[in-house]
Amino acid sequence: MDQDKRTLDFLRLFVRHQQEIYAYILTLVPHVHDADDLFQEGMTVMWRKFDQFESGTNFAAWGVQIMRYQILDYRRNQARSKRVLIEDSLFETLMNHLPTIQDEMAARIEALRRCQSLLDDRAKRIIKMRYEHNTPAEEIASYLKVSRRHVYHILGQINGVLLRCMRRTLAGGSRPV
Amino acid sequence: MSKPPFPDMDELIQRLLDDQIQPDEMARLSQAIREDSQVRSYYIDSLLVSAVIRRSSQATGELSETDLIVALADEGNHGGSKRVMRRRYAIAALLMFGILVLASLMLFGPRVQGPAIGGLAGTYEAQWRGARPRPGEPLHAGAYDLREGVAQMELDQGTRLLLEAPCRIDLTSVDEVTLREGRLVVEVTSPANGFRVRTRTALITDLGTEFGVIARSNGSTEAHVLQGRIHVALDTNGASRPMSLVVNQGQAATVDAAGSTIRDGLAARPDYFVLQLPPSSQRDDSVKRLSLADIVGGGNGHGTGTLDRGIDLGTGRVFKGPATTIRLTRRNEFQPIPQFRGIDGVFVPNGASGPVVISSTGLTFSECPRTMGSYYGGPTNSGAFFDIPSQQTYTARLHGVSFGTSTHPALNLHPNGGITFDLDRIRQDNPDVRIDRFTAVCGIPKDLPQPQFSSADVWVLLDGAVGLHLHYPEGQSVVEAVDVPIPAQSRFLTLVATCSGRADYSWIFFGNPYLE
Repeated sequence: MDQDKRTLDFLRLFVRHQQEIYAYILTLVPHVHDADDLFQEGMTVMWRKFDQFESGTNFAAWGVQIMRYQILDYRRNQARSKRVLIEDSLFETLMNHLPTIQDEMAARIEALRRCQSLLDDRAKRIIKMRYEHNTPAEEIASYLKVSRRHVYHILGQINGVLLRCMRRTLAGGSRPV
Repeated sequence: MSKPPFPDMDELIQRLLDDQIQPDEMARLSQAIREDSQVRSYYIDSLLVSAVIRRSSQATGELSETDLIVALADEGNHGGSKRVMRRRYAIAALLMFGILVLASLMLFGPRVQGPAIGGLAGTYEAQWRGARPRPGEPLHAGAYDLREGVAQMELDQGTRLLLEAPCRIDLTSVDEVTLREGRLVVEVTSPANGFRVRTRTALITDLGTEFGVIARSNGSTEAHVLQGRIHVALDTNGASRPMSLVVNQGQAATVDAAGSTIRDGLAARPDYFVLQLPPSSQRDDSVKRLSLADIVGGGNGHGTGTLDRGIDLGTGRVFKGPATTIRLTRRNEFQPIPQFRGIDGVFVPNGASGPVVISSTGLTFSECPRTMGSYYGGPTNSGAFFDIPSQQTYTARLHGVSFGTSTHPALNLHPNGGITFDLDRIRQDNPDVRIDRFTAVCGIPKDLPQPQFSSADVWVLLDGAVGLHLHYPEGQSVVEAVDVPIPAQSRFLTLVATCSGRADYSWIFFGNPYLE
């Protein structure tokens, strides 16, 4: 039963904080598939090291620390490839900056989740294609029968709506406005 | 900040997520994020949006936290036996779910798992989505999604698969692959045959052979036998009745999108497939070159031009491609374009309407054949073609590589059209580039929505004299290498595309059109 409880504890924390952890990875590794890989690998490491997690402390911060090492390893491995990674100076800037806003992340995510539910059906469909299915902009353009650039414009507009809503929600309390 | 701090920031972020960002764009974005806290904030928030949506839609995000908490809270309570049972069921269900979550994350993610069943023998400009095998690495059962280029897989037991992007497959075992979408060639070298290719509508079994398979997005399947023979059967789930047949060398069979009928007796089309891994394109970076596509896009030949920008053959004005309207002219009128440095002018060639003037100095193209005088936009810095009936845009590809990008520029020259470059002006503007030749690939891509209506011809002229003539018969998708030496005294380089009849689907493009 102890093992069951351990599993449940881990899952409960992981489910609650996964978006914070994933957002950290994606910001530093803005390639969705690589970020997914790192997330999976990092989750395995977190599960293995869960005994070291001090109950009652910040699970997301603990997870982010583990991910940090995963990401550094990934960058070392990718250094010789032709992939366009974010350059070292920017990586360090973001790496240093992200912990300073880590405490705000949960509130931002909660606001975004609420704001997302307020989007109209078309916008929901587009962002579902783009981010859930990771459909390239070119394929969305073909689906919508518009240019790729126009898809960027639409995604930018939806992004803007969500960010405006998120900021207003954070400023005005718990109700999305 | 909820508005992008600079106009194309949203585009750069999206291209970054798509792994399509170019080094110069990355450098620009990086500098802005580093130096401007508002840009940094916008970047982090934008990535947060995509992260939240991506993770909230995954299986793990769908688990209700309340359910977990209720179950955990119940653990300490002691109600009646039914309540205890309900609690145990709830916890058991959650544990099951937890195991599934862990399993799905670890086993069913983009990473392929399981024992190796072959290896990746080589690639040509390959870009993968999800699992990214490298040449020499083992291949495991699982999904592979080749987005650009060509990849050669060698499975144990001597089966070779040549995938041409875009191509999605599931490697099932050493003797079976599922082709989700795209095209591949199978070559079975061992005496033991029976290798299978599954698609949504067909099951193709090797009977000692080399064959190509195309699985189209609508579900239809084509199987082309290049050597030996194959067995083609309808997918038993979709077919109203069992049906299968043997297809011999040189023949092809198609299965309709519904998976209900097989049509055979068609001629095999080896030109639909890449039959060998193309040699890797290695060029001497010290040799400077200029992209004619970029010049058509208003650039200086070094990538500063605008993609998808073209010059209307009827008016000489700039338009945003791809063209969507077929027009007709009965006059051979040369349209000078003094505002474009490096371009002398454009024209609609028709040998039946009198002398075809191809330069501002009055040079003519005396060999110009009779055409209908129809044209479709004009030369464009683009690899995109617009199909009017389906209202879809298609991208020219060669060896699985998309053209019309900054790395692989394309000069779209749909017949009937001509463009003359002023080499003297280009030399003046680029004293450091020695212009000795014009190199490119030229032809009609093979992914046409319909066969071309008539044969097409391409002409490369130097001061009005034919330096190269290429002929593209109907019903063949051919892309050929172009290498035309340019004498130092040549002033005008003219590219012409003509059609003997209706020009529909004669989608002529010059890929990597460089002066070097």
